[in-house]
Amino acid sequence: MKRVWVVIFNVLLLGLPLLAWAADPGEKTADFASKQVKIEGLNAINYFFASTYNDSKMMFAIVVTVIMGVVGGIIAFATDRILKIIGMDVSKIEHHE
Amino acid sequence: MDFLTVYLPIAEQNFSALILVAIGFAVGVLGGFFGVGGAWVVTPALNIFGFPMAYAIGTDLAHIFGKSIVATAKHRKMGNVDMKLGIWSIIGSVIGVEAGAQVIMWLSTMKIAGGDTLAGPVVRYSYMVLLFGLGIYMLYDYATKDKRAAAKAATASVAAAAPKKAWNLPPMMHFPASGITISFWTVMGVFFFTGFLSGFLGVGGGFIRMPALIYLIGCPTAIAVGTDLFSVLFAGAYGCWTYGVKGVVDIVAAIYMLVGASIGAQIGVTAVKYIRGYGIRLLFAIMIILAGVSVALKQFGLTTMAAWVVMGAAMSMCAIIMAKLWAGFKKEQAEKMAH
Repeated sequence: MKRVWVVIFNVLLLGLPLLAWAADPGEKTADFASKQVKIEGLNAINYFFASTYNDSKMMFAIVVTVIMGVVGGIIAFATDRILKIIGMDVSKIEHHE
Repeated sequence: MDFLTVYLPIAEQNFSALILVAIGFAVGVLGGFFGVGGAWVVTPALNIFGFPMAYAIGTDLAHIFGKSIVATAKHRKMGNVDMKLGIWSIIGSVIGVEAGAQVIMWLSTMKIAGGDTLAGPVVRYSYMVLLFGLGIYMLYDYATKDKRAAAKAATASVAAAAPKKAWNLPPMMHFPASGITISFWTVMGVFFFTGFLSGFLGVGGGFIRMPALIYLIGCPTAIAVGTDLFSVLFAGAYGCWTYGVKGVVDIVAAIYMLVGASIGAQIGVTAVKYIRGYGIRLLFAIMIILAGVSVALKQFGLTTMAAWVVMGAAMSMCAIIMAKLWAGFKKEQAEKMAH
């Protein structure tokens, strides 16, 4: 009997996250999914982001994720160098409470 | 100061670059110093300064992902990751982030009076509960620190109790690197819940995941720190991507904030070396409560006052940390000169 309850609990719990999709969000988020932003008069960088956004949200998402990762990596490297130059070596941080 | 105004192509609005960098900077200093992300300032601040709630959360998650790469490079604690637990953290967090994001997008389709959507008040009230709750808990923690220290000293000889594994519903999982055996549902529950918070509020979730990893799952602290960073990295990446697919990430704003946050984080992390004492936690608790006050002010239509409160509190906190850091740095230099 206990085993049956375990199986029932597991099935119920596995089904919980599906509720998030059950609301048919694809249809309800149509406003954003089909949204087009203006590209007239933008500088080169903004034009690139805006036109990628208009062409494909999937491509835009990939571009955003890759750029944020790359920019994060570049900044981490650059600030580490700068701090070492001004004499604040924080490579061995020990946290304390 | 028109030259500091930038056009955000996805949010389609002009915004002060100075405010974006300042928000990022404040979050970086606080996160670097206190060891929690501090992203709970970003979503309310962006919303207060005019971002619709879905854009505020999406942009915040994008900047969290960039910042988590900086944090991972900085702390170099990825070696402490329990890889098996880390993989499960990715699965639980990704499902949680997506569930949170779906709820936000669903709420964003429901218009309410004043041109806002239901996502605005729902997230703001959630933030009020979170920030006031956390702030009051930290004040209580500060007020009772002496009593707890005495109690700890009295029980020091007693062996530490094993973490309570509250729920042992099968299947059970064994994590050799952490030396723990625990219910699959406890593991998934922790990561799903923190992932949901990330997707729903635009926070990293470390302030809940860290204690949960240590006290609920029973991870050693070093492994908890590494696994938390690992989890934030992937949850942030997924959050950035999924909000990007949904079209509500302003990448230009996220980059400005990331630059500010990265500089701030270096200062915050460096300040850990120079500032000691429990007093700074009191200021942090007050800062969290003021952030909650600013969200309440925004909810009740006092947007200008909300902007002053959130930025004033964040920048004051940064100024105090930087002043103490500078004093500590000068003192160290003087001591070096004396020897």
